[in-house]
Amino acid sequence: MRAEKQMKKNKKNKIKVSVGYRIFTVFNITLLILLALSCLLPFVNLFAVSLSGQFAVNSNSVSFWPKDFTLASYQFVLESGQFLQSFWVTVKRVVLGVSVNMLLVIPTAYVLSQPERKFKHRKIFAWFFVITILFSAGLVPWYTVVRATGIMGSIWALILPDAVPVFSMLVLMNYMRGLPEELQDAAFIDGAGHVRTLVSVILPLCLPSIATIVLFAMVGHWNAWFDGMLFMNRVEDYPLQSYLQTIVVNPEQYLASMRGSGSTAIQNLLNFVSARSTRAAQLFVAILPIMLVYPFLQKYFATGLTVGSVKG
Amino acid sequence: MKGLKKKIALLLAMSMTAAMLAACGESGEENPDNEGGQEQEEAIVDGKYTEPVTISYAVKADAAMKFPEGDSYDDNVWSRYIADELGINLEVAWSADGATEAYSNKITMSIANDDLPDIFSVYYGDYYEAATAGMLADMTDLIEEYGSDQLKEIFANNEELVEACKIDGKLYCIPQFGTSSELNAQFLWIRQDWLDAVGMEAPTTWDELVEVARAFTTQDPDGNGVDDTYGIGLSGSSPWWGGIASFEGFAGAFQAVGSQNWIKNDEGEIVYGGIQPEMKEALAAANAMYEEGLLDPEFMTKDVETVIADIYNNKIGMAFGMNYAGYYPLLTAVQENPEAVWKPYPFVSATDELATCSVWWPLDTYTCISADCPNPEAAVLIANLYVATNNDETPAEVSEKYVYSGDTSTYMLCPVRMTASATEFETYRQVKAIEEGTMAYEDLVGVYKTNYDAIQAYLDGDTSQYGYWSQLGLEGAAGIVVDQYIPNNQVILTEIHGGMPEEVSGEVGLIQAAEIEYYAQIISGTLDIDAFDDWVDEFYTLGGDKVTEVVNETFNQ
Repeated sequence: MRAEKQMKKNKKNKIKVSVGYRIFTVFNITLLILLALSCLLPFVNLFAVSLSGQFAVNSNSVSFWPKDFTLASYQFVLESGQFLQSFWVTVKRVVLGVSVNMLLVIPTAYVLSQPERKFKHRKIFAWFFVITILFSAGLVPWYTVVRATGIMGSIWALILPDAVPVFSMLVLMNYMRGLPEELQDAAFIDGAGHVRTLVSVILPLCLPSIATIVLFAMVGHWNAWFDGMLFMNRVEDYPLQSYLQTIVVNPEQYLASMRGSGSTAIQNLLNFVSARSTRAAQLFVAILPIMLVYPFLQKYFATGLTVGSVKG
Repeated sequence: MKGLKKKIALLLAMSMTAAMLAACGESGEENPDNEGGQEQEEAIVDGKYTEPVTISYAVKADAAMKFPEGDSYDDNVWSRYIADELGINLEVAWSADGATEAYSNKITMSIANDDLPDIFSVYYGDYYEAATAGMLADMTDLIEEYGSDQLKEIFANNEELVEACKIDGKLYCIPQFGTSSELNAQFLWIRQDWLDAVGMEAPTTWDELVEVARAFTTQDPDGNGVDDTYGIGLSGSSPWWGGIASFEGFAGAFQAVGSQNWIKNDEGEIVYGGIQPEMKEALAAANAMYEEGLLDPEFMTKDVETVIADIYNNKIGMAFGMNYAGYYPLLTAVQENPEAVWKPYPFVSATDELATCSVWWPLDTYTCISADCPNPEAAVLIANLYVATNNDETPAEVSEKYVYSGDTSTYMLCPVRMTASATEFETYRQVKAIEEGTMAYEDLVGVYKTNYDAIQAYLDGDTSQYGYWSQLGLEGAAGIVVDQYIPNNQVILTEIHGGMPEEVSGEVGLIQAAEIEYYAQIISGTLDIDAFDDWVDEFYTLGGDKVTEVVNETFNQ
């Protein structure tokens, strides 16, 4: 045992780092730093813009440091009723949406992870779900269904149409199939039913995978904007990302949408254009919450996804 | 497994067909039923309902709209006004953002589901589709019957537009008349202080314009000691937006039809302006300026916002743009930099003929009334009220409430609206009349007085009123149209009366994108000038034939 350890140590010390490897490492690190910067710098710029004066922003002279420093934009955001209201809609949506997603995904995945001999028509049911990934009916039927179910304009229109994210379900299902079947058998022998087995035995083992799909669901709900614009009946009820869409259109687009009103639209355009730094502030505030969630869930991310797919 | 897949596919296909059949059946049953209007006739006394009626409408929301405390789209100055004056209770069916796709998507879905609000506004494609599907109320007689004299006068003044709106001889909308088409013409905007600095006059020919561009590039007109200025501003990525940094002035100098407009050729056929030989000359001229360094070497990738930033940074002193450029973006340039004075001038010509300017159709929004609405005449009453409230002679205290209050455009809250006349031209005429002593200041009323005062305020040193001066003042853009463009027939109206037919919208999108790319590459010399012929080929490859055919079928009868 001791000798073995010694040998390991020697071996470790003796590995000579070749020149080629060193060059590779330097390149690798530089490349990754550049990549990281290219992701990070736009945010820094956005942040700087949000803290800068109007003219400095409009004349494109803000890069990574605020010019004519002002907190006016953030004051505007905090006092803006629409921003806060939309923020609240999104928070509600994420909490409700993720709960509904998990409530449906976990039992579905559990049932579909059962082997064929325990669950006879497993494949038919599995295909029933998979087909929804492969085919979609398109915009009009989607809208028609939501309208016919009478949830149009309510928060449920943002949650129910995608209540079962099938891809997440498959990830979790594969993870569950990777667990030893004996665990379940043992639980049954001890007298547990399916619900008990799922809650007390399977779920605790699936935490990494569940963390992953929770993150998927959260980010998905947080970033979704199209359904909000389509299914909400009031602009005041737009979720945050839909609302942000309405304020980040560029002046050309904005004016084109008002072409019919001729030069009378100019006053509105001026209001609109002068809001560039407040737009930046709103974007920045909207990014924050989801950015804060990432570090806490990320550690599960890699294991949760790969373990499931490799073994499945 | 395979068999199963097939079965499921079959099942899906069957259910889809069934759904489609059902949908067709539904819309087939819908017949425009305007008889309801007749029963209500006695219910309207002096243009007001004796028994209040409820009308739902779709709100095309504007992110820049600000409401006073307690107001909303559901309850605001216009909804109360309409309820009090007309006995019509407005009800918001839904609201969706107008600057993004949200509103048009929602309208498209409502048409597909036959679930339209009573009043809503659309662009041409949706108007045509809904009207031909029998989903819109026929307004032809209702306007005759219920329209006020004022409203009928506006319709009479815009007869050409009204005729173009008609489908099978019937008017299925209340057109949202905007500004007059000539006002969509563009101008050569120049920094007067730079002209003075280089000791030159405003150009009257293309050669003179190139001279000025050369002087602006090389003679350091802003006097900062750095060689950082360009001759003329041009946006390579949106050359046809028109607000500023447009290519239209290059095209117009060679009598080419730009702005992606269509014209009638000598054979009476409607053709695309962007592939005509005149455009090749315009591109060659722009290329020559580029080669000489008079254009920003990076113009190709610059969108309008970036060019505007260059204007704010005193890098550009000349650009082609609309009459309202003085409000946006030049107002900021003038306010931030007290020396800067941007002035509009007419286009200059490179040939023996006068320069031309092509403009788009001035009407693109149509207020429609659902065929299911039991009181379609309510929309006409609202239109009556709107034109009575927002016209040239509206006193300031009324317009402050119903047109603009503070910096909020309250007029946009009215579901049926239109601009009565080209106020800009009339303002210019009155300003000129006062200058010449044929009119007294005391005779000014309504918006004309407001405008006149704003122009005077700028002349007295209030730079925040610069926009009014540059648009409506004696040397303003409106005056150029009235005194030169209109009498000389320099404005060329596109032959696309309304909007591009929906069936070719895909091809049109591809063509327009390809055009912008080709032009930018030709101007920057990446492609030889003879690549213009490749572009013409590309136009046909992308479906130009089909588009031309459809355009001629639709607009050339």
